[in-house]
Amino acid sequence: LKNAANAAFCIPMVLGIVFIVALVAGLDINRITLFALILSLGILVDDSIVVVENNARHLAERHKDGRTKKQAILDSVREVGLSIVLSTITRIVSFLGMFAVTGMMGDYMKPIPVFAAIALTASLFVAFSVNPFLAHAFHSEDPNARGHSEEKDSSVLLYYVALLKKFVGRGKRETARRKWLKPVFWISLALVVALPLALDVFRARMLPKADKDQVYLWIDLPRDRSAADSEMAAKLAGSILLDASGSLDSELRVVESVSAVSGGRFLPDFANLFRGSQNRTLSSQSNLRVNLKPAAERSASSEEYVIRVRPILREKILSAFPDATLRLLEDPPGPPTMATFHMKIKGEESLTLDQLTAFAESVEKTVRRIAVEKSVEDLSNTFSKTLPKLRVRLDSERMAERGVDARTVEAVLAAAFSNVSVGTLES
Amino acid sequence: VDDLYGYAGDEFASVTVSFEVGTDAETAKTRVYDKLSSNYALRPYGVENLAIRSIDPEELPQVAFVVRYVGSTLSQTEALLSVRAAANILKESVKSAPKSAGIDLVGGYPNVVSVRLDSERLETFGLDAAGVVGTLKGTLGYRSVGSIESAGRKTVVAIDGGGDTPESLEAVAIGRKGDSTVFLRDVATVSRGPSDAEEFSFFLSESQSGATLDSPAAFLGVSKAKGSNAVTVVEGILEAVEAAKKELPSDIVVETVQNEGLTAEHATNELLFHLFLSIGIVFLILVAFL
Repeated sequence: LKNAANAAFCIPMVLGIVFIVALVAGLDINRITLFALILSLGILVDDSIVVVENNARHLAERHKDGRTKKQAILDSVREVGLSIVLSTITRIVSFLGMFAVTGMMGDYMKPIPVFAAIALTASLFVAFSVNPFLAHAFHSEDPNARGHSEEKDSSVLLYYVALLKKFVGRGKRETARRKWLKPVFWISLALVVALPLALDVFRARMLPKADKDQVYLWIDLPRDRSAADSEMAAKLAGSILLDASGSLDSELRVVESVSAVSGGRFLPDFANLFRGSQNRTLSSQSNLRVNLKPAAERSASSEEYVIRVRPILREKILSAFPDATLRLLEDPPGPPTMATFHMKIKGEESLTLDQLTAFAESVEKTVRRIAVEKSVEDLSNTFSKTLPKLRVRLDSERMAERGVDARTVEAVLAAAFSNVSVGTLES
Repeated sequence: VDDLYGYAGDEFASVTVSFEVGTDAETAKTRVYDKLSSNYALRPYGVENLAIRSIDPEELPQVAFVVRYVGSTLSQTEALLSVRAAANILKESVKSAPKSAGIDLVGGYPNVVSVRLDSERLETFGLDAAGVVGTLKGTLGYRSVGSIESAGRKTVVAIDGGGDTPESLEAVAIGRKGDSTVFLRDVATVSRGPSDAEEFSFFLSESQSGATLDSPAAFLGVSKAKGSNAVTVVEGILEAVEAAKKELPSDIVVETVQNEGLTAEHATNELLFHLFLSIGIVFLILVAFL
């Protein structure tokens, strides 16, 4: 127990050093760094275990060679010193590979190698300083004192040795046992590798999806529709999600409330910051935030919810607003991106916007066909669609005859068709 | 610069400049300012206002509130006006919360008085819309026009249009027809709220009976200062909102709809729990084998 306590002592020591270093260096302690610490916790104790274990052996052997306590500990640390230094360096180097990750993901994961390196260096320091000191403090100077005379093997070790003895040896029974052990080993190894692949247990993913308590819904009507129409579409979507009619499965009845702005900007949020939410200010656009019940009170994760409710929502909205575009969006698990797959179409400067849009539309048709085959759910575009325009061509001759000037015409029309701000009332 | 993309709407356009990952935000901002101002003369005709805004996850709201109207007497426009007014009261209170940074207010209608001109009546009085707009611009507000100095004392002279309520606005004289004066009320209707609604904001929730409750709403998002602890900042903001609730009318309800402080606390607590759990497991293994 003394040795266990000595080795375990390195954990709070190392964590303390890591936090102090982070404080001095001005690094944040966040979720990623905590994760890095949990990740490196298992290998943190390695250095200490080796030192403590070797100390214990040397201290126990004192009664044979009559060394002093201090001398035994010094010998022990010297013996394993170089190998511990080397093993710590290799472990740090293995983490350094993470620095090579580029892009947003690289920035996101940077704290992992940084904190792992700090923690491992700290553990080396603790193993060379605190652990030998504690060994000195915990053990008495008398080599024959209780608990020192002979190293006792633990019961787990004894059991393991007994188990091995059944297979290791030159006896006939051991050889026979080994014979059937070989195929068992190879077959189970093959099963362990092949079964998960066959059953498709592993799903390749950058990061696990976070089961957030909100999803987002964007509704786009054709550009020339009014805010009142957008509001109607948004309210229809909201009532479907809240399930006023009671037609949804009980698993999908998990919406607590819906916040929405039609025809204007909505509060920015992490999920949609890079999807261009700040540009969604047209009167034909609606922005909804669907607040789900807390994760503990629903059976469907936000991801399952989106997948299941999307076709229902699409069918109902499209039957009322056939030319609406819906996007049901989730919080991204990692750094936000504009879209999973993003295609940009550029043209020569001589092309008009209409020509470019026509080309983009034909590309979209092809992409959509492929995408539908690959079961892509949300596909949206940012093609330029301008509003119909009414041109008022002024006739300077007739204006002169009637004694009006262009400025007056402009001011009258502006007052008629737009809001003109004239001043403030103070009360 | 990594990437550029643009977006144009009616009477505005925006260009998003994304820098390579790892670029210092301040450097990036300065470079954009520098590029824009040194090429300002090249802007297309008609472009007047260039605003540069950074998109920074640090500036996102940490906590968001819905301010909604649950009464039944007000019209939609009146309700949207009153939720915005209530949100403004909250905004003032939240400003005092420690380490809170930007306050973002969306939805509801700003306190606007609309004057809707009647073109037929304008014509009968021989007036035109441009003239009325000009008269109102000249009349409204309070402007300093100079100063008088006499006997060594200086007095500032200012024009006071005298308008302070929609009613006083109706009484503004805008012209003469024969012997009588034409007032604004003769040619226009004055009302509170925007005349053409181009934006609606609402909050749908489930009432106790299970029906959908639809209330006009405004939303208030508050971000935290850089480098501050989300958990404590959000606590301060919630306290400020709680204190301001007393000043609000009884048919206005304020609820929290987003709380990143809570999310951060949950996530951190979960990880801390696992950290201690693994420390415990490691210790047990050490006890068993050493």
